[in-house]
Amino acid sequence: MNGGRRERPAGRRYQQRQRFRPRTTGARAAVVAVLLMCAAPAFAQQYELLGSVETRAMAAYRKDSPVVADQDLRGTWYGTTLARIAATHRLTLGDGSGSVASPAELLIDHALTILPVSATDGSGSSILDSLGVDAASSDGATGTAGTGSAAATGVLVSHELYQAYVSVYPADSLTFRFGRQRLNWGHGWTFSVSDALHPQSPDSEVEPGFDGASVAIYPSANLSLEGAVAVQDAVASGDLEDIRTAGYLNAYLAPVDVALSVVHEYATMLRPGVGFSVPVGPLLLAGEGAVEAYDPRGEVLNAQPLASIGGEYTWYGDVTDVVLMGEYIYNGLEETYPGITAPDLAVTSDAAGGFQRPGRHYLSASASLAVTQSWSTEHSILVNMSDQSFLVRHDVTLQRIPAVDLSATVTWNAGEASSEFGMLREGMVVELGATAHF
Amino acid sequence: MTRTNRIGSYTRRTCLVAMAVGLAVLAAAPVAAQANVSQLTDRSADDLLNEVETTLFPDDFVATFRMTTERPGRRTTEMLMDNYHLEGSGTFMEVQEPQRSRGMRFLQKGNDLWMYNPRSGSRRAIRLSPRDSFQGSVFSNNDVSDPNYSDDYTARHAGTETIEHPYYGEVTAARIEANASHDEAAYGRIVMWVTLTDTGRVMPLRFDYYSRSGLLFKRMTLEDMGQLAGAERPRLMRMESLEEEGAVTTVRIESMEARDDMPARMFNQQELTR
Repeated sequence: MNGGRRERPAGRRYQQRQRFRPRTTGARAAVVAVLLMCAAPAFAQQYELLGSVETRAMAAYRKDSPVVADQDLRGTWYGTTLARIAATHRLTLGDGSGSVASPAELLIDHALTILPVSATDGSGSSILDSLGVDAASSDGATGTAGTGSAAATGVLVSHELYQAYVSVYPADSLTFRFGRQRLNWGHGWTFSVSDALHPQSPDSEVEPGFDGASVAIYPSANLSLEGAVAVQDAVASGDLEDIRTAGYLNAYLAPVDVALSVVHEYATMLRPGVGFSVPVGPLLLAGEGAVEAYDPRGEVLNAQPLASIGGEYTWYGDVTDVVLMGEYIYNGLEETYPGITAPDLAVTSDAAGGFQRPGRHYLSASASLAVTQSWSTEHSILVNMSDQSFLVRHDVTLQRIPAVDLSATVTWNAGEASSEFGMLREGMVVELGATAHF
Repeated sequence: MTRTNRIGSYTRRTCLVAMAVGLAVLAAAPVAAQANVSQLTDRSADDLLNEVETTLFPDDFVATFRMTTERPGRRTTEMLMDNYHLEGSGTFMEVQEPQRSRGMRFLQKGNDLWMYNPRSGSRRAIRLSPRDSFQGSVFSNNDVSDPNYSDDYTARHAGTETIEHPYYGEVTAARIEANASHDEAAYGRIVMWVTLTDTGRVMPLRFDYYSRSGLLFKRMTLEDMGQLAGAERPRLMRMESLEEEGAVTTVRIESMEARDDMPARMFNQQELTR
């Protein structure tokens, strides 16, 4: 089926992609980011910085279960702390007047996480996972697209580059972007079944962008057409066939928002999709459907459907805000990826959009309540109905101090040891945190 | 002594002249006001509604608003935001203060307002109902993001009335009743008091907001008239809740510039979360 192309083992790229994780970049990327930040103000009309400094203390309970390999550690608690600095830099270049009419813009969105090395032993790696930090790459091993840096003094320093791109605006209705970036893709809440362009992970707090280029055309304020080329896999493999391309059309036909999309990679992916959202009174209903044409392991055509449908209710009162969300997801790719059992397997965008052990049916729900500038609480659950496992998160945040959030979070899961969420080693993680915004 | 008497006599004369002038002005003012009002009532109510929109904001503009909300028993909150409006495309707003909310963006499309908070960790914008409160203020989402009334309301004259206004003092104003022309409108009815300035500009003074059930629940007073974007406009909007005593939100327009060179991408949902 390669049509004259050189032969290669079927499923090679599928195997490569199993290693694909949210990319963690280390010292080199941090230095580049800092240099850019130092040099750019000389050319910038306007510089904006948005960020936060966060400290967390965490305690995690190791399950009394075979999923914890070391029997002595089963049923025990351990703790760790970390500090994290996240920043988004936005530089408006040229002689434009602010963000209204500028010829170019530079954006860097990154974070630096510092935590004790003790947290990286066996069980602690899950905490790193929960932060989207790749411990393997941070201690110097080769990651998918990054380098690592490890301090020798008992702390681990990890730099994550979520986005770093230059936008060029040759005309009001035309934008080119180069670098690591994200497109605003899809209508799903939990994730977008049509989105096979962006790297995804259910563990990551902030999802990174793809590496490549994009072009956006805006014929009007209600219509956009975007095209993208993602090259991170091709760079990693040295094979141009691993370049992934995508197209996304979004139209606002008041009051309905409609999107058509397609993602393609040679012999392993062809995923057309459609999505919509429509307000119905206080509800926003949204749905997506997609068909994945390929089974990437065999590089053969094997069409499977994916779909999601959900609704969100919002009520913003004088003092109190309420947001409720519910969503059902159908994952036809469970057929393509049966019996995946490796505990660290990130299926990412090739399969269920990030689920590590994909099931066929999922339910997701969340509820949040907020009292303006006082406190807020959010509760969410993700259920894999196929293997009857679930993941639950409770969060309470106090906002009494200006620009500082104090938070308490409990995350827990349940299910058989062989199930998607039951296989997680930590049955419960309790976190206390303080975040200062700047 | 003589000199003191002269000074005293001069002062008395000055006072008498001033009083006479003052009385003459006071006597003439209602006549002028009546003349103004008759000029207003002679025009169609829908024209006046359009004029009210033109007075409040230019068709396309960039502005900075400072919003302050006071509620009994609660901390006073303040928000500074940049506001971009392009007629026919929508309204884009970005919060500059307070620090916790900085970077939060809003996009008004049709009757919906979309909110994106880059600090939330979510890549998805939340849809806000036009009738809900804007960020805990007495203003609704629709009040803040949609400066047009004629799209959603049809107007009719509702007589004249003399009201006490914080800027103009006692003033006779024409009343316009704007009734919702479709179900999606944020209010059932808005009653507006308008007058005519010396330069012939229709100046809104006060809006009373009624729910669909007919309940009067909010009142906005437009104050501190001055030059903004090349015309005389209210620079302060004071929205008072009539349901919660003491709940008041003021919006001060710190700057405003009429400009239509905002790119379409700014008002596209695809750009909101980038």
